[in-house]
Amino acid sequence: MDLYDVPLHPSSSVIQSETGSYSRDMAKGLGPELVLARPGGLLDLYTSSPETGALKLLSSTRLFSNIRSISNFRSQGSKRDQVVVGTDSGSVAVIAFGGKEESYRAKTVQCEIFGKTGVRRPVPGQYVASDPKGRAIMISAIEKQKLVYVMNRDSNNNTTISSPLSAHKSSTITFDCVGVDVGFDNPVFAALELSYENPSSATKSITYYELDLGLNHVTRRWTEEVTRKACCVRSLPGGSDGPSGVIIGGEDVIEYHNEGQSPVSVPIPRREHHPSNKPTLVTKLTVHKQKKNKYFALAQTELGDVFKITTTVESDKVVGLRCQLIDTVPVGVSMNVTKMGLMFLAAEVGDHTLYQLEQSIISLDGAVETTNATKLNEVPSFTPENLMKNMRIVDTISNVGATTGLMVGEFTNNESSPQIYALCGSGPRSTARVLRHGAAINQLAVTDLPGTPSRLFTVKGNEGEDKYIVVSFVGSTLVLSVGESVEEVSDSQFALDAETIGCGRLSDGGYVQVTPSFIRHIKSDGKTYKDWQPPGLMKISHACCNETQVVIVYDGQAGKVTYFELDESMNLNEKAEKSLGSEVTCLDVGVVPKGRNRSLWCVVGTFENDVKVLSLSPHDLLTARSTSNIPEKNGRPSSLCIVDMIGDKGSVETTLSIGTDSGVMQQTTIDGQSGGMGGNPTRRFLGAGKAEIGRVAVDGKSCCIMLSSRPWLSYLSAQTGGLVTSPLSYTSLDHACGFTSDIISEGIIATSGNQLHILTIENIESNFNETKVPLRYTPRQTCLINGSLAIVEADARDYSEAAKVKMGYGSVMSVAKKAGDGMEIDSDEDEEGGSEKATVVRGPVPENTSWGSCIRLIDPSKCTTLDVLELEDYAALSCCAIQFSSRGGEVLLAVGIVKELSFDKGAQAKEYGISLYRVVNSRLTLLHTTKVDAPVLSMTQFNSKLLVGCGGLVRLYDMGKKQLLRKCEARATTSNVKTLAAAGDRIYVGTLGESIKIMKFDATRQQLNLVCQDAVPRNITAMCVLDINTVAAGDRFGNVVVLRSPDNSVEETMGGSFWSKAKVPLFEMLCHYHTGEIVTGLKRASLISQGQEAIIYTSITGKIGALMPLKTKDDVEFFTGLQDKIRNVAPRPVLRDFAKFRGLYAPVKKVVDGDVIGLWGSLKSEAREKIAGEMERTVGEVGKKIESVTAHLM
Amino acid sequence: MSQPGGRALSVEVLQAKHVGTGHSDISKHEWLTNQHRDTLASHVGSHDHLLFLAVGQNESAGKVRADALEKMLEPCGPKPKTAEAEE
Repeated sequence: MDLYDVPLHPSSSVIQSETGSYSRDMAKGLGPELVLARPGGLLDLYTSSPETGALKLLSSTRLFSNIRSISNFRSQGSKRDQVVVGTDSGSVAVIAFGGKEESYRAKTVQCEIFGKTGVRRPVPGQYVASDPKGRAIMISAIEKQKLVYVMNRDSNNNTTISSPLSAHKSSTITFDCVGVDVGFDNPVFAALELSYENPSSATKSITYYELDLGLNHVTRRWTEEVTRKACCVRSLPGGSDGPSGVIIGGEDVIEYHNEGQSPVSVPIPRREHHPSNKPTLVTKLTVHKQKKNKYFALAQTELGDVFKITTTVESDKVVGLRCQLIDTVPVGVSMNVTKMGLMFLAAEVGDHTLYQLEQSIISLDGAVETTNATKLNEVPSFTPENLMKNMRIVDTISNVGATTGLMVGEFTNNESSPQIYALCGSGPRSTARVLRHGAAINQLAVTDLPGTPSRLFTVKGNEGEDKYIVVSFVGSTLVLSVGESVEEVSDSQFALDAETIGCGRLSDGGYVQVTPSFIRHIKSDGKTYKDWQPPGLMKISHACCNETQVVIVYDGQAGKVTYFELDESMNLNEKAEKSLGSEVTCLDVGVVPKGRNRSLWCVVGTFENDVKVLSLSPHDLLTARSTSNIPEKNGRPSSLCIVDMIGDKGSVETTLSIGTDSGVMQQTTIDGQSGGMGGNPTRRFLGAGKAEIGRVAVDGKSCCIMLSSRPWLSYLSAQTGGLVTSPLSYTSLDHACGFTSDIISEGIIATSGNQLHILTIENIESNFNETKVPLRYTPRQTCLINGSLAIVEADARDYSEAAKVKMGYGSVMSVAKKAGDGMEIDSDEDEEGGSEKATVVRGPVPENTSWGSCIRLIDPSKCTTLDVLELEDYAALSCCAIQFSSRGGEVLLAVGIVKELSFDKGAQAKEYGISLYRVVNSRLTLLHTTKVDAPVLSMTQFNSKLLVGCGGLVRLYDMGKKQLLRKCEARATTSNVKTLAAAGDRIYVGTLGESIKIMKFDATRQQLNLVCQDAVPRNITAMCVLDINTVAAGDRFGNVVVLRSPDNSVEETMGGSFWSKAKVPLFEMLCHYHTGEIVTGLKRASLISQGQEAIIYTSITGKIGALMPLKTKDDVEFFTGLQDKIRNVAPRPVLRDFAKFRGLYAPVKKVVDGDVIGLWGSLKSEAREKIAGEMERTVGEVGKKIESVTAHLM
Repeated sequence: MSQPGGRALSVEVLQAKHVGTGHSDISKHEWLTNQHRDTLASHVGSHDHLLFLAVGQNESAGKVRADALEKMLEPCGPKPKTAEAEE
């Protein structure tokens, strides 16, 4: 079995973010930029629009190494920031971003290897810090090692890096590290350290490491004790800009320290209802430097409250600190304040947000505040609010993490392809997200039309923008003029009492309109026109035109084609006529290429399933240059479209797309010289219903929009360099064409039924768009019951919803309501103002081991909650739909519950149980609860009984009147059973410590026998059964394995339990792959209806991927060969070995890395040609092959 | 193994250089402490592990990180006083 890992959605969590001016275009006065380091070695560059603040992804670069930290670095005199990256590659890399001409890609400027690789205790990379003046960087490990590099610039202005200077100190744990701003004195780095030499009397201290630039060595210059639980440190501006020194965040306190002066500390205000014995830790600090010696710091606590920290400076020394509450926002991994007063918060879980800091932040009048003079017993307290006072939301970046579960399937009963349902944590920000494959579409306007249109055209004006929208109905035509608004006009000289079958602008400035009985040429003055009538009683059935050419076909004349061309005296002249011998079903003529007088090709589709390319060159008019036959099973051609697709390097590919009446699309190229069609066309099923193809422009490139039961877009991908057909997430459309106006530069105008839609495509390269359902607590598991989704939600250390509301911590919904009543905010604020000020606050933390939990039913088609049942006292951790034979056909919901589970001394709870619920009319009612003796983490149906993983036991229950009745049990593991699945008489058990086991149910003896187990003790987090002998499993370290039991294992162990344990057959490992992050969901599913099945996986950081089986030996050889060749030539940004990155825990086995294959498009063209030559294919064929294999998936 | 000059590397030098490597006379407590410190450091260095632990316990990942680093001080409690207890 060979798998191909298709990346569907990269990790959306953020490890760390920084803001600055990175790309070369920044000098042109664009908005501030953000660099986001994401799991899986992704370095994303975003820019914020200077006008609206909206965030836009500029580039996304894979480093093929696990990023641990990043830091801004600006070398002396430079205006651009670079990023220093600490990874697990055993090297330190300085990375710069290119300008637009380099697609903003990240490029390694310097990469210096220092030693061992990996995420290990003494390996530097956990923290990187840079000197604010850009003279040195420090890279530190968690324990002992710290290296300092002197940075310089050579005569060509390139950054150079010195050999490392060590500043090691053994038995020391480093908590954080920062470059101290000391002006132009010797660079100093501050590290927050804890020594374990004498653990009983250990103190935490801040240590200054000075780099002596003259002597070129590093010394420990100064050290001072700080608050015991301090965990973050940031430096204040120094030199001529401020007092220098560092601020340190600890438990309930923020301290200022600097050499040569006494420390200052300020207690932070406390939350109302927060247990007095639980301190609040300040986990994030950021310092924002303004102009003219002004600066302030922001501090965020573990609960999300953000404080503004200001200093009082007397004679260059900090004598006072002041801490003021700003607002409560989601807990972040990074906070960055840009020069425009925008704050980017990369959230730990849920969407990342960009906030605008309001003017009120300057003074913060009336805010809860403390100063260094505040005594500890006088610290004020506050209740966090759901409405922000000093910030507002500008934009968000979607984050699917922390993903805790996955479902794939078509559950809405009215869509053509399956959806992905992701459970996203955590706490009150939890959501269930429905992800649909396809680029998101912006709907700009929808208007009703008097009837159902038969055709739709846009007609350009003289400035290149569209002047008219021509909507054609049976027997009439509607002309809309495009201006500031779209209005119906009657003075356009278009014939309105006939159906328009073709129209367009001519190069003389006039227009042409083709109706069944005449061709009208409207002159450039817009007032006069000339009609041409076909001879006899012939009717025109099909027509197409461009700026100089018109081609028409007569109805019922065995394919009689007539060709007109605009001559020099601006008259449309009949040039040629030809009979094709078969009725024509569709035709198209290409766009006139720039600088030419005519397009050379016209394509015609006939009733006999032929598609012919006709020449339009003057000496060879209407000669068929090539013919292609569409296979009968794919239907008859119904729509044709010739588009000149322009590649990255300006290469032009004339592409012919053919749509058939049974919804199949076929794509091929037309040779510019001979008019021959390229061999082996790409075919794709678009959907049920006739396919219609239109020409549109997206990102300045022409592409095709293909319509059937769902819309698709076909374009030349910048990433792979090949033609890509990807779905658009929108309702089904009938007709569509490109649209440009003053306001909309690249729009699409389309009809659906009797409605006219004006649309834009947001980001064609984005794979998914999502719909969210807000949840109360972290979702734990989900299952499908009676067509709705049941989700069990539970949060440790939380109150129930009712208790929270009692204490004044309402949900966001109630706040929005309050705002609507005008109680909280001024009445002149509109509704928008409410939503951009709303924030989710984590409720009070209880003192005891209380849990908040509920069971929820969701309607997948409307994405609405049907029922929520709060579980007082109990927490639901698992669920499963079950049909007991003893209870007829009724489907019940089984829920595994715990009471007062605590993690203090291992996971221990007061009570464990299984509850059974009835679902009647989408309402949950409790039937009964059965007590058990260990946590139930998984359940499944087995032979119309309930199979339960109870601690390390696997138990079979039947239903009784008052409780469940135990039928049989077997010990599967000494740890806990995490996942269960059943097929036939076999049970697949995924355990937390002993990998997968297969058990077989012996019906005569009513016992479970172990028939297969694993030799490797994996920590299983997710599992799915592929076939009766094969299981795919994900473990706690981010590996996915495919295990197969030997064929004879079942027979060998049929005898039963007298076989000794050692003789239980072992799994054979078929595939092994490191996905990068902890796998939380695995499902075998297809992503398009009747498409190829794959193993869909999600990881905790929001990554979604698909492991697709490669079917033929040819494919396997191609992809493994291509992967090896790309690995050999592709640059390694931080010098991490590709194979080692993917084989972090064990070597990759039989899986092709889709991320490496994805580098194909970014390789240099010589490298591509060389690889393609070695593989005995052309560059185009390789790109097409890559595209065609993934096209089977989606 | 030898140093660049050709001199043999002594075990002591290697021990001092590479934190957490064991030796023949290592006590159970010392060995276990090393194991735990390695594990905790691995959690802190892997964003997905921090997130996983944080979501499960409903803590902030920043707090989980700080706690893990704090725990590295004495992951298995203080060193046993007597020689027997170490066995």
